[in-house]
Amino acid sequence: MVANTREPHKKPLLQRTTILLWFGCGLIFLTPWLGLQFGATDLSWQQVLAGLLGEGSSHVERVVMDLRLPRTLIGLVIGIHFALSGWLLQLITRNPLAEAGILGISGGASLVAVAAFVVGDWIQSGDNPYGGIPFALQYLPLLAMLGGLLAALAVYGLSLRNGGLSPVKLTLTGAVLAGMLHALTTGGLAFWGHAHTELVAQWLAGSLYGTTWAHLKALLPWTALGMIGVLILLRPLSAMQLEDEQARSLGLHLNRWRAIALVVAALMAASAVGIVGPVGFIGLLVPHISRRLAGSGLLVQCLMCTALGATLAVVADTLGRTIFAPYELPVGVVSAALGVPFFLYLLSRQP
Amino acid sequence: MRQASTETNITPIYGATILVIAALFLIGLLAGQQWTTPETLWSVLQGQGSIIERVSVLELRLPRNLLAMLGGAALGAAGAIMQGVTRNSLASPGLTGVIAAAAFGVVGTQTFFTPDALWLPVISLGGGFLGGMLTFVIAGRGRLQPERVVLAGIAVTALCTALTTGTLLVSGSEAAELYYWLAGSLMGRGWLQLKLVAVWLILPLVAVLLLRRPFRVLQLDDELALAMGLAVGRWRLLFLLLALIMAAALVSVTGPVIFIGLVAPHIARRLIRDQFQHWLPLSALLGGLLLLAADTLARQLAFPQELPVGMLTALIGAPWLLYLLNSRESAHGG
Repeated sequence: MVANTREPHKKPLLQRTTILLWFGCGLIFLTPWLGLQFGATDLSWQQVLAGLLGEGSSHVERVVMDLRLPRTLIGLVIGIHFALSGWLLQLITRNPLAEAGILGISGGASLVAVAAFVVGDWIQSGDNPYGGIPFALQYLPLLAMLGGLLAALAVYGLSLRNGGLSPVKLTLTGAVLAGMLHALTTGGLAFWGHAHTELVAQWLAGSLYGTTWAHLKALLPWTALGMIGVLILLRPLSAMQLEDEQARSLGLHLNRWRAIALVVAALMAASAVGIVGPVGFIGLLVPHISRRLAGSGLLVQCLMCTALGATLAVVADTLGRTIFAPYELPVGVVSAALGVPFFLYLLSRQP
Repeated sequence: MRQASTETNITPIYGATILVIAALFLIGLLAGQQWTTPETLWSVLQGQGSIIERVSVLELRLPRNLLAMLGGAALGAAGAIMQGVTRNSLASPGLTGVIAAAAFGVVGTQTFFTPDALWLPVISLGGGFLGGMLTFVIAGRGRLQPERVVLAGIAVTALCTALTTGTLLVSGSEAAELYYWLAGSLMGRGWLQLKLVAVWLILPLVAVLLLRRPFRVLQLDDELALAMGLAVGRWRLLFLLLALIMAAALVSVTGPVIFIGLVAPHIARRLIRDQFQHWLPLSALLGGLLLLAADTLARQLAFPQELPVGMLTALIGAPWLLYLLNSRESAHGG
């Protein structure tokens, strides 16, 4: 079916795909350079290169290898996470406004992560006031995922209960839930009223500040899992793009695949939230641009999402670090500033 | 369905509401770390009693209760105005980006300047005005569908929240305090804060209560209202402005307290059925009742600490809104 529709355009499409893939590869390899090159310390590109190869001075090596490289890599990875998650959500809900933040997935993940933080601190408080912070970095993605999944299921269930999953309705349900979760998180944090509030607040803004290799290690297994999930989902997803009835006549368990895709999307978004906090709007913006560039082929779309998501996150983070230097804007704020106008534009085009 | 014979008698509803408010007010005065006995309260009110009792009742609990009641009334009235004037059952200060934008205005100015506290309501009003305008401009390009307005409001809220969070990270030592303020709370608000906003809350409230007739006409068709000799556009603007003033001024002292402005008018509407002349006053009363109840709960639930009242109103309001969306959908479908 899919092959049939492609047949007439085969030649130009292939050329376009090739160009796009090269473009994507170029982006993925070039943008990290941005993150490595710019920052609070001025380094020439020779110095950066020397630092990467382990031949620079100890200062350069520290800046490049311990600070900028892990941060840039995490930026790449979370960009991929949020972009693919948004892409999946937009596909399965057929909703151009769907995104992890707007659907409450990030909110649920944040709430559980903050709760874990607070409880962890509460258990450990007394002996060491700073003991609570490095608590179980590797568990945070897992816990956040739990929250994200619950929120996703709640939104899905609530909107499904009345039949249709119209874009506006689903978005509204998600947004209301997200609002409630946000209020709960803020309230819980204020109620906790602890000296670490600003640390958690930084995390809640969606920030790459102070991320280390340990963060990257905690995140990578989930990246791998999510990517595998997306690859497995590609075929059922392309069938699901058809009308529901046609897809069903192909013998597809629509709801089952939809649920699996939802789980993968929640997993990708929430695990990233567990590490860097809720970064909104990357998952909204990137899939749209990818679709427009890539046309209807899901594999190309998915690859474009990967490349553009990584690029956008790194660019947003680099901008946030350099615009108001020495202050730092968290990547979540920059991406919201870029994404909200886009959301409004999409909204104005909704019938 | 709606017949003249179903016209309910409104007086008992008013009576019950006022009675509940009075009871809550009394509980609010008595409740605390050490509950004041009614006899002590009586003696305190007569100017006797120990200094601790007098301070805790007259300086701490009384102004706080008054602020909760007045602020809730303002939010309820503001919600009813927005819902009535835009004929949008989902319009409310929280859902149109007004509250988030006002909060951003306050956080931004507190961080980058150190303004006199007198200016805070004005700043908050400026922020709220811009936020609300942005929402309606974005949504208003099509027809003014309720869902569209809310989605636009959500986007504006998201933007303002992100900006606020970004600002907080820069504000350094004040961040923790501002963060607590952002959760929405009446803790520690006293006569000072009450005096600061009283004018901004009471004047618009009285004004809209007096202007009930044009408000009622505005809810009719535009043509009908025009035929009755009402300058629809101008009145609508005036009402929205008054609603904005009330909501934004409250934000400047309590922080964002959402959902009261949505829930109170809806309950009021259910109670009054089709006697719309009572909608606005009853919304105000119910708003006061709700905020007073939420604040009293917030003080007691997690004793000896306090819950931010904004968290409680969100917990009550969000399920309500979800229910509302569902019932709207089924009403449209059926």
